[in-house]
Amino acid sequence: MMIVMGNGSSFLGRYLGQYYFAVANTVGVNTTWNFFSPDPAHIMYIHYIIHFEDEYGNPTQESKEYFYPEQKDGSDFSINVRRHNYMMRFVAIDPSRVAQFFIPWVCKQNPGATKVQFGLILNRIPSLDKVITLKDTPYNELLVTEELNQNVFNCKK
Amino acid sequence: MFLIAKNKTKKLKTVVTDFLFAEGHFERLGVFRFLLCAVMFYIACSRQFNVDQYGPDSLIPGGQALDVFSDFYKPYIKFFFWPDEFAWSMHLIYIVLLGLATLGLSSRPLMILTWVIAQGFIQRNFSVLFGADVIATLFLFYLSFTRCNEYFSLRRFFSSKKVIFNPNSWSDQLSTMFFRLLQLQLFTIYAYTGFEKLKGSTWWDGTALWTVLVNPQFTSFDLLFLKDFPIFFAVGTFVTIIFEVYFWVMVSIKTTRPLWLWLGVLFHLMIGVLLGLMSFSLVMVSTYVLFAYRSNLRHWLGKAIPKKLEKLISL
Repeated sequence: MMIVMGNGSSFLGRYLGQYYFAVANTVGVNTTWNFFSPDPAHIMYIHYIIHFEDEYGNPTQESKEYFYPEQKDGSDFSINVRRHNYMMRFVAIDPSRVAQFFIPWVCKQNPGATKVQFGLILNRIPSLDKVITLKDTPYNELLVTEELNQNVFNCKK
Repeated sequence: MFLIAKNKTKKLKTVVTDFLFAEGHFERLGVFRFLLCAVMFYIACSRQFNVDQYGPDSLIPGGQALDVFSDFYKPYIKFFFWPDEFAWSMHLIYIVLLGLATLGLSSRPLMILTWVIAQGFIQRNFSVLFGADVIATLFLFYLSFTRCNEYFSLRRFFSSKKVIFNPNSWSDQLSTMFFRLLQLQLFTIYAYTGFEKLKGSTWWDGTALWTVLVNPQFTSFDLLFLKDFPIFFAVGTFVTIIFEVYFWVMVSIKTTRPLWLWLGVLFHLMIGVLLGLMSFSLVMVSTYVLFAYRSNLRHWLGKAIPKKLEKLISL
C-alpha cells in the first residue's frame, strides 16, 4: 500500500486502490512525496487591496493595501512566521482557493470591507545560463515580475 | 523436484520470519522514539503560536477542512473531533502527550491517541503544514504500534522488570513488523522524492538547486555569489537525485550503509542550515537510527549517559 500510494493516481494506484483507499487516506499514507518538485517554486506573494464602500459604491474609508505574507520576500525565517508562506503557496497554486478560502478570510478580518482586489505577484528567478551570460547586468534587473490571477472579489454580507 | 521446491519455500519462510521477528529492536526504537518525539515536541511548541489557524478564525473554516482534499485523497475518518474553540487547549494537550512520549512515559494506546490528535490537526488545516508535520506524524503512527518505550526511557528508570523479547507473542510480532514498516516507509519516501524531481525540467537540467538557493523565500543566506561556481549547482542537483533515488538500495547493502547514512546527515544538515528547514532535517535524520547497529547504539549511549542514569538504557 505505502509503495503504490506514493504515486496513488497512477494506473496501479487506481486499480489496487479500491482495496485500501479507506485506510491509506485515513492514515496519511496517500501523500505524494514531492519536495521542491517537479520544479522548485519562484518567489511569490499575494498583493491585495481592501475597499470599503457604501451601497452606491462611494468609499466609506481609505482602502488598505497589504501583502501576504507581510514580509513578501520571506525574510523572517522563524518557524511560526514561515507557516504563512506555506499558506500563501497553498492559495497561490490553485486559483479556486482564492475565492473559496482567502477572500472570505480577509473579509472576516476586516469588518466593513466590501471588495478585495487580488493579485499574485510572481518574481521569476532567471535561469543560471542567463545569469552567467549576462554577468554584467545587475541580478535584480534579470528578475521578471508578473502579476497573475488579478481579480476583484466582493465580500459576502 | 517437489522436495527442492519444498526446501526452498521452507528456507524462504525462515528468512522472512527472521527478517520480521528475530529480534526486538528495542534500542533502535527507543532512541528513534526519543528523537522523533523531541522534534515533534519542538515543532508543536512553535506551532502553538499559529494555533489561531486551527480555530474559528482560520483560513480554512472547520466545515470546509476536508474540502481541500480531492475525492481521491479525502480521508474517510475526520480526526479533529474537538470544536474549533478548543483548538488552543487541544494543542496544549497534544504537546503534553508528545512530552510524555519523548520521555518514554507513554504507552501504545496513549501514543495512538497522540497520533489521532496530530492527524486531526493535519486534517483541520492542510494549508499551514510543513513537510515535517506530515512525515513526522506518519512515522508516529507506525511507532505507536511498537514497543518503543522499553529503552532510553524514564519507564526503564523506574522499573526493575527485565525487558524480554518473545517472538511468539502477538505484541512483539506487531512491534517488529511495524519496525520494518518504518524502514520501508523511509525507503519509499526517499525513492518517490527522487522520482518526483525527475519529472521537473530544472532537476533534469541540473539547475534546480540554483532556483532553490537564490530564492529568498527559501534561504536566509545571500548565496548569489555562487553563480561564479556554476558547477556547484550542477553537481549538487544530480547528487541530490542520486542520493534520494538510490537511498533504499545503498542502505540495504550493509557495506554502503554507513556511507549513505553519513551522506544523508550531511545532506540534511545542509538543507537545515541553508534552507532554514532544521525541523524537517531533524525528522529525516532521526530515522537513520532505525538502521544503526544495536551494538553501536549501546556503545554510544553507554559513553554519553552518566553512570547515575544508566538505568535509562538497561534492558
